[in-house]
Amino acid sequence: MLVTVDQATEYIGTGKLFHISGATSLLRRLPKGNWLGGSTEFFMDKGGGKATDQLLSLIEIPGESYRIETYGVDGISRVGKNAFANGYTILILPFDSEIHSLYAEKAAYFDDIFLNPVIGWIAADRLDKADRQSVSANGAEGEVYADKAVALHMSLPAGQSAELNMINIFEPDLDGPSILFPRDGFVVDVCLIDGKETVFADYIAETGLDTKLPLVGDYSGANINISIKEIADGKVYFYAPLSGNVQYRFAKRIDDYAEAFRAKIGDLSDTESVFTCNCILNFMYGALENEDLGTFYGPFTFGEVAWQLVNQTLVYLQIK
Amino acid sequence: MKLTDEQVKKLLEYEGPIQLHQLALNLALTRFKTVHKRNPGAETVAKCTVDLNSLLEKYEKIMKEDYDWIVSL
Repeated sequence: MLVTVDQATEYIGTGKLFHISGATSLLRRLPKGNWLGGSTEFFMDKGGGKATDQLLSLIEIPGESYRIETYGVDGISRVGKNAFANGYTILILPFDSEIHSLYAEKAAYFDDIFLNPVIGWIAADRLDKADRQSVSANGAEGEVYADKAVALHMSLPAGQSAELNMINIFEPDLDGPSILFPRDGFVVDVCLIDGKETVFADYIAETGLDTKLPLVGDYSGANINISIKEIADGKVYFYAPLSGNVQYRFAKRIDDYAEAFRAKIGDLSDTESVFTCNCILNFMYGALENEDLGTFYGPFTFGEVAWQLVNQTLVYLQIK
Repeated sequence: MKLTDEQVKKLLEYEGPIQLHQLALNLALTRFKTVHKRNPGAETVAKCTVDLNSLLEKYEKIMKEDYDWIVSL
């Protein structure tokens, strides 16, 4: 739910555990307590997508046995190993920080990263603010961080397990070319388009491809999106790193993002979730303001974590 | 629900369409394939086998279908 700072302060005072997201200026005003969070001014809430710098999104997280930890660049590789044997992790990383890049590039290779669900998001203050500061927040410490990640490691009792899933409305356009990249990374100059070496920026310009559409990679049978950030100086920059070992295609066009999400959500037998987040690009490109996406409430984010960094998806965690 | 090194090697080198449905497995396999491509060898396969079996053991119920597909390769 969306609440004021005063209301959030009261909730924190109950001692329950919360995930809280909102403008950095509001997060800084919250008291110490059992909470973690990060910067965003965009939210999925009752009645649809909302944009506000006056309210915070507050999600109560059920559970009694947990730790809230702060991770720097030196320790983040242990985020998988530090999880409880049966449980899950919610992880928040500040946008455009060294730890954001490190996690994006290396998380899939961290020890034990896939053994328990790791769900999370990249937190960002409004990108058009001159004095923006994107932060993660550790309420237990009473600190916000522009250069560290904050994680909730939750332990679940025997008989319960956490499941992390993704709703991706994008599908690869199989009528379009297959694209391979020579190396991993956030930036591309040349690639192979149907086997032919091509300057990717030139290819996009010549074909008039819509750069609001992500590349969709075939990650051993899963469709994973990589979103285009910008094209500059003959290079293409992305919001997540491409893999040199994955085949990509441009996504098929989507005319109605809200309908596409509702169709996918309608196929689910269970939409109760402990935590959810959705990509800010879906909010912007898909005009999701005031578009109801059912009971998936949470922040719109500048990158999502489903073990590793993904783009333009809704990720959600359920307890079974 | 345990895979052998031989079965894992086959999976790592398989180039057809992959029929896995649990996202953790899709992503883990992508990592294992990348590691194997860059450093093929018995040691890499053995490590992948250990990691893959840890996942399959932990999520036996929901990964049974995916396990059955792997052993059918």
